[in-house]
Amino acid sequence: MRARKRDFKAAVAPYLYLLPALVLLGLFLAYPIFYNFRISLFDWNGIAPVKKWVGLGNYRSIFFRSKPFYNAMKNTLSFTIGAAVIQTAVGLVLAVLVSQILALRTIYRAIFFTPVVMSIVAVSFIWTWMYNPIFGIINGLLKGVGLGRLALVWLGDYKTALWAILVAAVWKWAGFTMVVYLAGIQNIPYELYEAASIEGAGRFRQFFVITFPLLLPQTFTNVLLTTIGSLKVFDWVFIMTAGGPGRATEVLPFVIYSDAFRFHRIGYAAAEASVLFIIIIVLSFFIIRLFKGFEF
Amino acid sequence: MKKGITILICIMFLCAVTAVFGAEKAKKAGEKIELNLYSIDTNPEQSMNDLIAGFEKENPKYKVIFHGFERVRYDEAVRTAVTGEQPIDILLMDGQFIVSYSRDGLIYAASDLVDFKSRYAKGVLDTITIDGKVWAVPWESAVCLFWLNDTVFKKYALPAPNTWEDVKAIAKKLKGTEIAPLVYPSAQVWWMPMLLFLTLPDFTNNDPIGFTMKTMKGEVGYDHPNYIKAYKRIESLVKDDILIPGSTGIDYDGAIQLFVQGKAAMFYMGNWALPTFKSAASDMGIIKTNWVPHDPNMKPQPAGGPGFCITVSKYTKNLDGAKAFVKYIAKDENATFTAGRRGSPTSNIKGDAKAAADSKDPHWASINPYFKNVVVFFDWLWEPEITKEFQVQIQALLTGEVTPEECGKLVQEKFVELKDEGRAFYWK
Repeated sequence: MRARKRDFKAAVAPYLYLLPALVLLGLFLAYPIFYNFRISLFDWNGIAPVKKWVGLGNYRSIFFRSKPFYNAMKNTLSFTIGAAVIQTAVGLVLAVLVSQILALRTIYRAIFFTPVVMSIVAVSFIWTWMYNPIFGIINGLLKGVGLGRLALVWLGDYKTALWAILVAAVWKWAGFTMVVYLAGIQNIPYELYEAASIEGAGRFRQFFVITFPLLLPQTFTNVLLTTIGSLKVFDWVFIMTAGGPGRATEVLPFVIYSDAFRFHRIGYAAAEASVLFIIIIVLSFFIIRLFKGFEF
Repeated sequence: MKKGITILICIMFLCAVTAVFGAEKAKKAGEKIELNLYSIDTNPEQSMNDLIAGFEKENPKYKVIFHGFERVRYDEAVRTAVTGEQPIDILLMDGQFIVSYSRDGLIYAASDLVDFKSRYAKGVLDTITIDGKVWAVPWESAVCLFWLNDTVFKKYALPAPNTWEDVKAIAKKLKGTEIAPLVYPSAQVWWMPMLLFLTLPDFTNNDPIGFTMKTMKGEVGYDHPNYIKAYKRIESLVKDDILIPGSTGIDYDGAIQLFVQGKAAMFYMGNWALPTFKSAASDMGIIKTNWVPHDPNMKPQPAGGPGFCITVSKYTKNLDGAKAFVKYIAKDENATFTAGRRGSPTSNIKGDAKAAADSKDPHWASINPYFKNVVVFFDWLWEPEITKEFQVQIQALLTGEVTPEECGKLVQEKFVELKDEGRAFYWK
């Protein structure tokens, strides 16, 4: 009898320890996701006591009638791919360079990581002023070194606005990518580099043959986190351009926000949010499968 | 050990339950009834604190709780409060929300609750009258005008920009200098419709509101020749070098700085810019005001309305208290609290007259006459989707991404889409 009671406790105990976390996940993750999907089946302005059932009508409107949605999807995917490639590359370069420095390595690590801990709102405002075409420091420097032809209207030009925001975002987050790579670099056995040097491999060859392949787990982490974060980008756009000029920087989260809080189409915005959720799941799955082929 | 943890968890749970219900008990036992004021003016020190203190002294059973929200967050805050059943009694809001709040049943018509209409300027009340009811008491009134940098005007002997020909002449004279003829915050889509407010009156025989109503009812389209002419005039601001190059990269704060530093001769903006000038300009004497430009055979017709106005939330649980507060605000003597502080009258005829007589601010005195010809901001009437489409397309017009004809076509397409979905205001 005692033994059976002990077995039961041993079987149930892990679930009891998990229960608080599961309750929180259920309340703040699972429930909102399902409730959002439920609202997406209605035409509702967020205030009316009665919601009008439309079934998949909101989804039909999104896929067959909404030019802004497709424009926002195009911008979001461009931003995401750009961020995943550029931020990962910049982080890797910084990590390799910082790892080579013996003295003051901690200080350099702190310098490059500082933007990560800064408030996005503050950073957005500062970059907006830096990009100002008249008195911004970027155009001022370009004109000062005789490159006035490159002094563009960064946030006011359809061709440059989205990439200007991307540069600011990469500046902020590259330090995080660097730190992840640094942890990986420190785990690479030094003997591999010694052996490579003896074999006559130069630094570049060592990077491509030893460092980069062995950093694949960190590359996977960085690409996955950057992709998910970029698909949800909102704050940069809201502060720096409000989706402009025109719709050049409208991204999916911004369009969802506008539909929900400017046009009071809560059901429609919920449908757009559900679509974004599925896009994030699918892309994450794709990245996991892509990297699964490699041996970690 | 296990017993101890269990007892601790039970105590914590009991504390949490007690705190929730205990707090409720303490509220009921309190003497004052709270009135929650949702304000689009985030700075109560400017005027509201004095009025709240005066109201509470006259009505000691009430306590006004001030909640300030920035303009871009105000609508979201109000609707979230209503959806979340948070207490919301009084709205100090932007007049642009009158149409949507009255349609969505969020507010009482102020004229149903308080007698104030006869004491306020009809022109301003007209801008917030729907179906014969005035939906709010004007708190501060706004009007669009041209601000002039007097130093630049004197240095280059520029003519006053009364007509569009004058504006083009100014642009010609300043060509080759580093001074921009006109600066405008074109980086922010929010400001784009104001360019249409500037150009449409000349092509609608000074009846832009009548023409707007015809458009909203489908009698004419947003691609009507009158609109195309107005879009072409907006396009000409860039083509004729009137707007500073790179204008679509300049935001509101940047535009203010360029103007006060003498890098631009003119700034098109409303009277609400006056407080910002006072903090940005070292010498307010260089800043003058002028009517918006117009064609010679037309009269200047600036857009405007109660930038701030005050009314009662339909979701209030303290209707008597909220009514009392709005009645207090509408008193003639209380108009002087706000009149002049932002260079704008409340449009309370008696109160503003007294404030004007007492005011030593020359800018406030100079702004007053512009309210005579004011017409309501068009985007207060449009469906929000049309406002958004105009914001996008007018900005695209400035950058050359669309032609005037394409601008009209795209806005009209959006209107047709709204009609088909039953979301256009006159199609349900």
